[in-house]
Amino acid sequence: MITANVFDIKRFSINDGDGIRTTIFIKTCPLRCKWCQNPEGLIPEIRLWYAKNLCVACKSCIAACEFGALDWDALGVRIDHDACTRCGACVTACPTGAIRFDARQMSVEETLLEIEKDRPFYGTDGGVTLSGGECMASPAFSLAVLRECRARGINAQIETSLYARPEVADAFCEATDRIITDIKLIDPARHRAATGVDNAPILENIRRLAKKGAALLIRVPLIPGFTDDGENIDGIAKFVASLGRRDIPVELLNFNPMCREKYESLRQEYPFDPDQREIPEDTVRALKEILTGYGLTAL
Amino acid sequence: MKPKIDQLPLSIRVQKLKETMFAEERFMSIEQAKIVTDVYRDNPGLPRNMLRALALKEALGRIEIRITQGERIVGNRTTGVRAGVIFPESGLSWVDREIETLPTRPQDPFQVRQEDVAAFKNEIFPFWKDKTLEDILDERIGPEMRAIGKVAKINQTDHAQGHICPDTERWLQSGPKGLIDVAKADRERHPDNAGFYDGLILALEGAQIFMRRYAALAQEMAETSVQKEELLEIARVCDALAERAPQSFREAVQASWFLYVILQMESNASSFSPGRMDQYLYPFYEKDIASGALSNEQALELVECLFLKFNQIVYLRSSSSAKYFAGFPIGFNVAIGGQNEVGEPAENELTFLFLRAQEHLLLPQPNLSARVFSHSSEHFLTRCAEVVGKGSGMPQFFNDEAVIPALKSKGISDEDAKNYAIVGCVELTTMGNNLGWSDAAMFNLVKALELALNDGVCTLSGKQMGAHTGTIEDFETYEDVLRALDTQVDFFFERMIRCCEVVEKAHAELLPSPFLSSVIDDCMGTGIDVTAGGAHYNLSGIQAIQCANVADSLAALKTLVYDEKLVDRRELHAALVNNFENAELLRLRLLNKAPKYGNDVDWVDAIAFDWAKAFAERLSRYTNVRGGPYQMGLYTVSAHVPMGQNVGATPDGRLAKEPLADGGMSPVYGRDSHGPTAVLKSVARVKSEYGSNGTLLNMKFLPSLFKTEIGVAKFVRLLRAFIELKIIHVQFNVVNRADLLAAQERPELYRSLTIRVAGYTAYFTELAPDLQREIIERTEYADI
Repeated sequence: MITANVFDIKRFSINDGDGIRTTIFIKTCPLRCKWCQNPEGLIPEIRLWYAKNLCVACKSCIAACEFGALDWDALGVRIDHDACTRCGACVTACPTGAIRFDARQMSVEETLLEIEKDRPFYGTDGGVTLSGGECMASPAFSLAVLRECRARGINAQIETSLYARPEVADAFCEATDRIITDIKLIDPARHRAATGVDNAPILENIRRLAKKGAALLIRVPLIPGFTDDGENIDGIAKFVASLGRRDIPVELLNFNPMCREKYESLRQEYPFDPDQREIPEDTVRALKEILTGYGLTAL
Repeated sequence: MKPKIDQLPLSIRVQKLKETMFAEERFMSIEQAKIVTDVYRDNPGLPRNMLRALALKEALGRIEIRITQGERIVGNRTTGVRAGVIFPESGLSWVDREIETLPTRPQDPFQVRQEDVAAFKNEIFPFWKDKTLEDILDERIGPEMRAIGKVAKINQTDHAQGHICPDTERWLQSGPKGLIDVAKADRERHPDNAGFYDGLILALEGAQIFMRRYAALAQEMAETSVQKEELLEIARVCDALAERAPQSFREAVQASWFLYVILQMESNASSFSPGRMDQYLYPFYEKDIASGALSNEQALELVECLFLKFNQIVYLRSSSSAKYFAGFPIGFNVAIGGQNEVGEPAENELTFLFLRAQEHLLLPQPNLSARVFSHSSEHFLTRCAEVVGKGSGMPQFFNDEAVIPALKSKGISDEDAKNYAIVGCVELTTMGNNLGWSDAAMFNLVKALELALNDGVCTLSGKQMGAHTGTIEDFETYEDVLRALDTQVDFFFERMIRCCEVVEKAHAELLPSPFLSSVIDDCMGTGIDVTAGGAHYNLSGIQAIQCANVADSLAALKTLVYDEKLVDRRELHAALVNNFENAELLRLRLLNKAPKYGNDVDWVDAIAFDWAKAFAERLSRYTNVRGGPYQMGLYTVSAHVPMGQNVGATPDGRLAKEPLADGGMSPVYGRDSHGPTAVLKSVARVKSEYGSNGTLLNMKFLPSLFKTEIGVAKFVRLLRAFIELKIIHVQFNVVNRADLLAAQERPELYRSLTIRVAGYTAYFTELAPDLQREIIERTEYADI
C-alpha cells in the first residue's frame, strides 16, 4: 500500500492556489531553508510533538512513558526521540493534546476521503493542493493522489521547491493543473548557503516546464536579511522575464512570524529576532515595482 | 465596471439624519400607557377587542407627534427616537421593579424622567394590578411555569406576540380607507362577528386620523420653514394616504412605514416584519422610473430614509429579557432576492438599492435578509458578499433550497412557501397570512441532560426537578444514558405544551389585535381575530437548545467513558456535581480528547441531528390551540448566555453556568478547529426539514478575506456551497479583534460599529461586557 506521512490537512485554504482548497502537507524535504516555516515537515519519520502552549504541566505523559523518553525541564516536556518507541501511551495520557504525533501515516484512499469532504466547496477552480515538506519527495503517493483527484474532477495543484530530477518534475507537471513553486534566491552561492542545495536544478526545471506551457505560479518568500534585497528580486525578475511567458505571475510572500513557536517546541534556535514581523507594505511595494518593471505580473 | 446602481452615493440629507438620530438620548416613554389606561378606566364594560381598538385609536389621535428637519419619510410612536415604550396591557410588574434602574442597567439602558416615575407609580401601575397578561398568567400557571422553567422556559408571558409578517401588499393596494370599506362589507356577511369588524373599523379610522395629523403638522411647519416645498409634499402624501391607496413609490414607502408604526402602537411587540419589500414595492418603483417621476438616486434616498426609520422604534425589555435578546432587536426583517412563483430569480433593481442602502448605513435595522438559491445570480451573491464585508453582519442568508421544503413539510402551500419571508431574527414565515407564534418556549436540552445524569436533581441547587432516572454511575451502557435523557425530555415536554396552550389562550382573551387582523389573511374574511386563530396558517414554534452541547457531551461520554474506558463513571459523576472541582485534568480530557460537533465528524454530528429530530417529532404529536401544528426552531439569539447560567457542569468539559453554544446550529465557541467548511458540513447534517421555525448559524470572518476581488469570489464560492448543502441560515460577522478590543476600551469612538450577536445586529458598544468578551473570543477562521 502506498502511504505518506501527512503532517497537516488544512481545509478552506484560500492562499494555496485557486478557489477554496484542501492542502495536504507531506513530510520530508531535500532543502534546509534557514527560515523554514514548517520545520516539523523536514524529516520523513513520524515523531512526538510537544505543543507547549497547550501544556498544563500535569506531567501525565512522563508518568505514562515506560521507556524514559520523556523528561521535564524549564522548557516543559523534553522528548528523547531515540528512546521513544512511538507506543503512544503518553499521547493517550495527555489531557489536552499538547503531546501528540507530528504526523499521521495515510494511504492514498484515506487522503482522498479527506479531500472529498470539501467537494461542495471546490467548484471548478478549487480543489486539492499538495504541499510539504516537499511533495515531490514522495512521488508515488503524491502522483497517485493527484491523478485520482483529476480523474474525479477535482482540480489538483502542488506547492513545490522543484528541487527534483527532471523526469519526476515532468511527471508531476502532467498530473497537475498548476504548479506553485519558489525561487528563493537567484544567486547560486547564496541559495546554497541559505537552503543547503544548489538552485541550478530548480531553475532548470522551471525553464523546461515553462517551455512546455505548464501553468506556473512563481513565489518569492520575503525573508528579512535573506531574500528581501532588491538585487535578489531583480535577478529573479530577470530570470522570469527570460522565460518569455508573460502569463506566469510572481507572488511576493511576506515573512510569516507565526512559526516561532514551532522552533521552541523543537528546541531549535529560531533564526530571527523574536520580534521580527512582516516586512512593511512600502518595502514590498517597491520590490513589486522591480517585477513590474520587467513586464511581469506581481501579486 | 460596476453597475451604476451599486455605486450611488450617500446623500448629505441621509448622512445628517443619521447623525441627528444617534445624537439623541433614549428615554423611557409612558405617554401611550397613560392614554391606554384612561381608555380602560373610562370604558369598563366594553368587550376587549373594542377596548383595544379604542385605546389604539385614542393613542393615534392624541399622542404627540414630530417631524424632524430633513425627513422625507415621517412617523413614529413617540416624539423621541428609539424610546422605550411602556405597554401596560401585557405586563408591568418588571417595570415597577426596574423603573429606577433602567438608566444604569448593563444591557440596553434607557433614561427615565422623574415625573414619569411618579406617574407610573401613582396612576398607571395601581390601575393595572392583577389585570395584565403577566399577572393573569402568573395566577393561572405561575407555579407550573416556575417548576419547569429551568428546562422549559415559557415565553410571550409579559408582552404581546409579534413575529408576524403583515400583508403589506394588501395595505398598499387598499390603504386604511379601502380596508374600512371591505370590513363594512364583510360585517354585513358575518353579522354574528359584527363586534370583530367594529374593532377593525375603529382601529383603521385611527390610522386615518394619525396620517392626517402628520399632514396637518407638515402643513403648519411649512408656513415658517425654509423647507416649505418638502414639508408641503409630506402633507400632500400623508393626506392622500388617509383617503386612498398609494400611487407612487414615495407614497408606498411612506404607507408601509405608517403600517409598521401603527402595528407597534397596537401591540408593542417584537417584530412586525416588512418581508419581501423588493418585490411588493417594485411595481411602484418600476412605474415611477418609467415615467421619469423617480430617479435611482431618489429611490435610494427614500429607501435609506426608511432604513433610518427602522432604527427609531426599539423594544424595551426587562433586564432579564434583555439578556436573552440583547440590543433591543425589534425585528424589522426585510427579505430581498430569492425566487418568484415559478422558481426564477426574483432579484430586481430594488434588491440592489436595498443592498446599497445597507452598505451606506451599516445600522442594526432593518434586519436585512438575503434569500439565496441555486439560480441566484453571481452578481447578487457578490454584492451580498461585498456588503457583508463591510462588517454590519448583514445581509444574513436564507437558503430557498432548504427553507421551501421545510415550510411545505408543515402544510404550507407551494406558492406561499416560495414567497416566504423572515420575522424577528431568523424565523421563517409566509407573507401576510401566518401567525407563527415564534418563541413560544425554549427547551433547554442541555439542562435535561444534566438532570438525566443526576437522577433528575439539579446540580446547581440540589433540587429534584426532573424524573428519577438514576445517575451516570448507574448507566452500564451508552444506551442507558440515551434512555435517561429521553425520559427527562418527556417529563418536561407534556408540562411545557400545557403551559403554552394557556398562554396562547390568554393572548386571545386579553390581547386581541384588531388592526393587525385587518392585514392578516383570512381574519377579515372569517371575522376571527388573529390571536384567536383567524390567520390562514397557525403555527407555534418551540426552540430546542442546544444541540451542539448535547452532541459534544454525549460524544465525550461515548468515547471516553464507554468506548475507551478512560474515564470512570463514579469519578465523572462526582466531578459534574462538584463543577469539576479538583478534577481539572478530567475536565480537560473531556474537552480535548473527544471529538466535537462542528468538525465534520459524521457520528458526532449525527448525535446532534438525532436529538433535534426526536424533538421535532415529539412536537409533531401536538396541535396548538389555534388548530395548527407546532414546529421546532434551532436558534437562541443571545439566550445561550442566560440559559447556560441555568446549567451545571456538563460532560463536554463545560463548567457550570458557562454559556452554551451560540446561535442554535453553531458549534461551541472555540471547539470548531477545522475551519468554516467543516462547520458547514456538520451543520448540514442536522437536516433542515426539521427546523421549519428557523435555525441560526453564526460564523465569523476577518475583514481581510473581503479586501480583494479574489477573496470576495472565494466567499461567494462558500455561499454557493452553503446553498448546495441545504442549510437554512447563516450569518457572518466580519470584524477584527483589535477593533473589538478597542471598542471595549473606547466605546465613544465606535458608536456605529455594529456586529452580529446571534441572530440580529446590535451595536457592539451597547452590549453587556460579557457578551462583548464572547464576541472577541469567537473563532476567527481567517486566522487558521
